[in-house]
Amino acid sequence: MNINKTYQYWRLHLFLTIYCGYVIYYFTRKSLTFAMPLMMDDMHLTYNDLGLLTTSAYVLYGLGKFFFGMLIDCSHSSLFMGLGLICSGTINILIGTNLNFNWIFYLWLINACFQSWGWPCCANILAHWYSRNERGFWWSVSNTSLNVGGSIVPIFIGMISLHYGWRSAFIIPGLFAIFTGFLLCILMRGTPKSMGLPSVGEWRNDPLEKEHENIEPTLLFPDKLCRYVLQNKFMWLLSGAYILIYIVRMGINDWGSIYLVRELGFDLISANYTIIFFEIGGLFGCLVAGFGSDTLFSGNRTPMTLIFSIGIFLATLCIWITPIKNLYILSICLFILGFFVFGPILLITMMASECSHKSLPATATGFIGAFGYIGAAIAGFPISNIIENYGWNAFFVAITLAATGIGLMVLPFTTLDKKKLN
Amino acid sequence: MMISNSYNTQRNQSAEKIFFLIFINILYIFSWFCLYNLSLFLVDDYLLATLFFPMGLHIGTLLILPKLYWKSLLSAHLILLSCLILLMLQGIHQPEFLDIKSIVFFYLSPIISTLLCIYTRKYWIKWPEYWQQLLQILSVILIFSFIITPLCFLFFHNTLFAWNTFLTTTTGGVIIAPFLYLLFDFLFKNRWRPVLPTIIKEKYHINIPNLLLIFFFFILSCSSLTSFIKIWPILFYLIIVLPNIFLAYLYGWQGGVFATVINSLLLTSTQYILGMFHSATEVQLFLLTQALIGLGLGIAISRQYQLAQQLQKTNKRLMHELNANKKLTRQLVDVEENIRKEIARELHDEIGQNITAIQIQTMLIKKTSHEENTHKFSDSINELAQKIHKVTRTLLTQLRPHALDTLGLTESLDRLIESLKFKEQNIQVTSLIHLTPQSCNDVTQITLYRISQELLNNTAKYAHASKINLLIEVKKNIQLTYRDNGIGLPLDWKTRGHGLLGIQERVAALGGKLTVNIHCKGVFIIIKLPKDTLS
Repeated sequence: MNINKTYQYWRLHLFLTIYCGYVIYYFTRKSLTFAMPLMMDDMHLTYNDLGLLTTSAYVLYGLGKFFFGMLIDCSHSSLFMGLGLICSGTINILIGTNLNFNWIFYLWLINACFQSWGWPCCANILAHWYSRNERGFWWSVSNTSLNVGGSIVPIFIGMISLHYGWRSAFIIPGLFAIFTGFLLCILMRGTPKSMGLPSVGEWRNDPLEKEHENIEPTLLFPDKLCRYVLQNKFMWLLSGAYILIYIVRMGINDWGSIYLVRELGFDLISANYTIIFFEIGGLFGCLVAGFGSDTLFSGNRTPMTLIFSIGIFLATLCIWITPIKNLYILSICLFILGFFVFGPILLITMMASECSHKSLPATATGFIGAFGYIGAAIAGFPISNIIENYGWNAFFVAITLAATGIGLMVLPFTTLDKKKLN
Repeated sequence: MMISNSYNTQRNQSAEKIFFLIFINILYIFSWFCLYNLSLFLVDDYLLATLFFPMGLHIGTLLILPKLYWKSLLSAHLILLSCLILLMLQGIHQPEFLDIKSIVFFYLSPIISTLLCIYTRKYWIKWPEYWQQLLQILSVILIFSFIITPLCFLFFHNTLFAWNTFLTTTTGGVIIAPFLYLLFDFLFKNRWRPVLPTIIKEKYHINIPNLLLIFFFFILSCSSLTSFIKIWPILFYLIIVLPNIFLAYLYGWQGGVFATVINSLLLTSTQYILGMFHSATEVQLFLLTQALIGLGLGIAISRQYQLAQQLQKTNKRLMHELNANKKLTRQLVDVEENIRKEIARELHDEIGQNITAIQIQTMLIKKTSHEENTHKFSDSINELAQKIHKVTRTLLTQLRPHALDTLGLTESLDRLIESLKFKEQNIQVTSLIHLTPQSCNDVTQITLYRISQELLNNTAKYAHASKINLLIEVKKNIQLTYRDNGIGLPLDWKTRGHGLLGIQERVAALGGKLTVNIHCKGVFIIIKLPKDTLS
């Protein structure tokens, strides 16, 4: 009974910690994006400069996720999340006080590295404190921090930069981040075992979780890494799917408003509001996908991913082809597309942590994440090329093909794990 | 702990149900909305658009899902229709005409389809096979089209519009509803097991060449959409159904349905980019044709496959039973022969000795007594004993030719021929027997002996022949060829008497074959027995 209470207390405690912590991570991650318009005027920057900066930051962030994920899995330290946030905050303050764009460029790349410490820690907590048959739900709830951060930050940063200039848009979130970072260092904990508690599978008496915990528990880290991540063909399939889904996500995120303004002739502000529906839809999509895969398909994430990829396909076609080019209708379409896009993002990450070794959740999600951000980079330059040379139809064709690809990539999973009823 | 667990599962179950209701509701609204927009592009009229793909979705989901979930579906539908009307009244979505008549028609059509589905659900569970259910879906769609068309005419007095309605409803239903059935079949009729890292040892079964071919066919159909349509329309029509045919060939109805939907979406998007069809009717007719080809071919191939499999199964079972039967008969033959052998030995040993003893006793009586009567009696006893001896000997040869055990088949057949006294009847017998002891076990030997005996006896008794050929040799099988030049077999040999019939049964039991050549003069019989049948 005592164990029950301790367990429940720490689960809630840690969940709130990582949720709030990750939202704060967003403040120092997106500060540049939203302070950009003012910076461009102030420092006479071109689109090319910023494009190069964001693309290389994406790639570095993705790779950082993988490498620091490994480090976090190796060291079992609970300090990473707080330290990352402190460092990121410091760098933001440095950027805010710096005058030279070259310095800002490199500082921002270093910031991307520290930013990548955030998510692997969350994945670590989620994988070790929640068992298989409930993880979908909790993971999806924690994933909404992404959408919450994504929708608070633009308003917050926008307001600060408007009132106090773009430098404070770096310095204030930076101070904020350092403070939260110290809090995180105090509040974060490692695995249940490191706190003298039984593992979550034992505590919840979840046979599947126990089975997962008992697969080669004493293997050395390099062997685990090779066998369960690098040589795991399913991990590569998931990476492929993740690249494609990030192409869709970033494609719509980055180019959606431009499509609305340039092609359909809406004004910038209403276009930006319309794009917000994409994020809101994503929030619901995450929750439904996570909870649904737990309840309807007993913890198998594949069928839900398939349903959602059909949804992406349909919604993309709908946005593209609909004859009513009206902001309301397009908002609904974007909401639907967001719903279907963010579900698989969550599900694929979860699948990655579940089909690798129990003690490698951060590495596995980091591995996938690295590919995701390669996809994000692809959504930048090559897609812009496509739009320029072949027009918007080609853009939508590319997005639709990517959606089909997601379905194809997870298809091999369906041949494994099912048995025909009766 | 246990109590809390069971409480948890109970709560989970109800949560699961509520979640499923909401989930269906959301998915229905989203997919309806998307399909409505696609349809609106293709048919360019909001009434027709609701009757196009969305109606297929409506009918498909109602038929597939149990009535438990209908409230979720129907409420979703109501919300959608009302929102649409609201959007139109707000002027966001501007239709060409919006009067009270069309609004009534707008709400009436889903009511009719729902009623139809309520009626059909009764048969849905009764006929659970995939082809039955697919046919039910198709028939509901057709009946709905047949109802809605005259209704449409009554409402709007426009023949062209009514025909368009018919075409639209049928096309939308035929494309979307079977796909929903496929999806449901795939997702909810499988038991999903969660993934564990142990899968790294498993292999996934994806046929790469097939996948590439499918890809190739879709690209071909896509390129034909962009290029061939203007140059060779007929070639275009052929190429565009190739993916349907190929997928139906590979995966049966599932493949057909899948290809149909993908092809339809491809067609819709290329129509958007290139606009190669001039009217909505043309597009729909085209969609309908390829859908029907894919679906029909798919069902036919699946059914054929299923039937062939059933046939194979039945064949296997029959084969098995036949083998068991043969084995049993062979055992019967074996047992019979063994019993005969046993009895023969008993007879030979016991009766032979005793009769000799009786004969000796009678001689002793004769010697010791001088009475006339005693002599007479002892003589008659002696005579009787000899008679018994004789009868027993015939019986013995019938039961078990003693010679077979001591001399082998060849010699015993020679003796048999001798004993039948053919020479005295001027019948010339040629017998050639090439047998090795290894190729031929006990049962086969005795069967061969008995067959020869029966045939020779028949010839001796009825045939009036002057020549007999008997040939036993070992080829692939053991083959006995018998021929005489007599009057031949009676026409009704199969039904009359037991001699030849008995032979046939015996041969069949040993897995052999008896052939009677009736076109020759005389008797011409070939018997084939398998080598060493009992091993």
